[in-house]
Amino acid sequence: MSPDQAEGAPAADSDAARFAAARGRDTDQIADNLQWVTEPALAYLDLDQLLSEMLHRVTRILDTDTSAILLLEPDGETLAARAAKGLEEEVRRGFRLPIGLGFAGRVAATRRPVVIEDLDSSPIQVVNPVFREKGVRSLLGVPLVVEARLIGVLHVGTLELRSFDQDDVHLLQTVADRVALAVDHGRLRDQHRIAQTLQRSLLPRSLPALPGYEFAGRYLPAARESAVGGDWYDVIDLGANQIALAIGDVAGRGLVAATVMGEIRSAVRAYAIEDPSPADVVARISQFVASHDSPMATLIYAAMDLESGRIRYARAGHPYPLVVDAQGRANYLTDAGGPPLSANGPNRYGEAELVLARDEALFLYTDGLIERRGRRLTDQEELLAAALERAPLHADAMCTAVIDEMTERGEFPDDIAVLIVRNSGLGDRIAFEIGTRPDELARVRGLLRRWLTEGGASDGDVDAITLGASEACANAIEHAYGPGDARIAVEATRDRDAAVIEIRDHGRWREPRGASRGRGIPLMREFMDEVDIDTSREGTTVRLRRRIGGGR
Amino acid sequence: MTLAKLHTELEKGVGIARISGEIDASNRTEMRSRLLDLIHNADWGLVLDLSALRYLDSAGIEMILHLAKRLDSRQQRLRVVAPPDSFVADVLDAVRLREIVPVDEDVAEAIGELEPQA
Repeated sequence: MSPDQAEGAPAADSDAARFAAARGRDTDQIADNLQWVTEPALAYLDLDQLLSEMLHRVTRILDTDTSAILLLEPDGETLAARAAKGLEEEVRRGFRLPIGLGFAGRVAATRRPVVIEDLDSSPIQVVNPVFREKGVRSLLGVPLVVEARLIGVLHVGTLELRSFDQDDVHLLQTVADRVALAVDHGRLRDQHRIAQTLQRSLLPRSLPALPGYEFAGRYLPAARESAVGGDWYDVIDLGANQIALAIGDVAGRGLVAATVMGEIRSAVRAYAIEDPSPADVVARISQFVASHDSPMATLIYAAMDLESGRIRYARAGHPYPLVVDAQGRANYLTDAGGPPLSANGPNRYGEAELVLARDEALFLYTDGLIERRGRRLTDQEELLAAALERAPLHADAMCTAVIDEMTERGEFPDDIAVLIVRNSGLGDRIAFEIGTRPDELARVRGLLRRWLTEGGASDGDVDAITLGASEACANAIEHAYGPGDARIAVEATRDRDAAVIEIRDHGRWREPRGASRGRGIPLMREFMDEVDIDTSREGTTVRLRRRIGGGR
Repeated sequence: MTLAKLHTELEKGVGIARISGEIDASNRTEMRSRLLDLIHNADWGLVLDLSALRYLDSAGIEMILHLAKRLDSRQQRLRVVAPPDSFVADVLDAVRLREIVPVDEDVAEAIGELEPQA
């Protein structure tokens, strides 16, 4: 090639031109080569393929026999071989060395290019036995640096003696910068994927299906790819007609936030099952966060009695929840507030209570739904309340409509989680099935009490009918065939001024066994106006009837 | 989550067990054994306070009768407390429990009946 050609090369290719001038090669070829190692399409390879491809290309361009990439371990003190050409044993053996030691260790320690002209006479103590085994004579190494962070070392070597010059150094450093970026992105991508998987796996796969209630939950990741937030929600069935609702947000993003979120979620589940008050749960989670040196987090924890709709809740630094009433009016619940969960949080939190009446919805969300750069929080809160008032009443439709409106159909800077529970009422008739475990009896009573109360029955009527139905179900459970799969159908309807409860099983009632069952049927008769027990080959149907409002 | 809560104390050699919540076939056995633990520490007997109990059915009645028998075999006595006109009192009356186990209107009355007469 001639100097003329080099001078005629476009300014953007000056690296190539200088390199070509020094190596006596064709400028266009060199420009192609540079292009070749920095090709954007490489970004689509996974990290190992990418590193391997980069080494292949750099070995060819620089005409070397070996090349290798060592990456800094998470400890920040050790380099580990990650990819190599001509020195494959280095990777296979898991070669590691501390920063400062050996050839690569020196590159890392100085963060500057290091040249070894002749390994045999070098003052640098070379540690890696593979160099000797392969007969490597000359080496050139450069640091891998991203945003002033050292992340590893890239080196090339020859079996013949060679004097690597400034242009070689320059080219290798260009490749190294490209590799460093790719490694950093690849790691972020991996971390992001892990964080995302973790985060998704920690959200409920489905929300409970409970008669007379609608649940809706959403998690929307922000558009930025490298940032999974610590937003989460949970609905926990505590049995005995009790559930717990939780929504929270862990400060920060990525793997740490997702991990802490998982820890808090597990801790909430563990405490919830012990049945302390919401204020206690939140205080204990606060202590948990403090003792784990976790990032700051916010939380609303609510315990709900499905039978009465009574909700007790406590709030730690989390945005105010809202209640949408039967007329569609949205109101913020501003009480029961406390500071976020953190090391210097209090060990007591306040607690408040509300009853979620029929057709009312509780709306919980994380701050990503309302916080927008440059907008006042109070304005945003007003927007949210207005969006809720315009939204359809059904929980799922409400969720979609409010998120659509608040995100202006796609624009939001932070992750969003939303959880809604709505008391949709049981209606005139309820029909459901139970299994044959005795702890299902409480569920039957809870549903019947709610249905009867909704229908205007007095406390006396509610207690009496509940007892009759529970006794009939206890009989059916006792007589069910075998363990496990048997189902008992319960149906409650109104017949003019009376409530009629029908319990059907597929077993056959035997003669009463023991004192308990002996008392069950007389109790049923005592508290109901009519008790019909119809036993056939297919099973037993008990029909209970009691006039409502007639007094005891 | 437990269906019923049990609060116990000892007063003047009398065991007092206050049950709130609901007793049915799912928890009567557990409740019975917790109550039996309590009578081992009592001298005179047990007051079973059902004033705060919301639900009781034939399973709970069976539990009470079982307790009464055990106390009897230990020469201890059982008294049940249920406010008049409560649902629980209605259930006790429906099975005529008073004919076997005395039922009082409040705890003080029940303790007075169990204490040894001066």
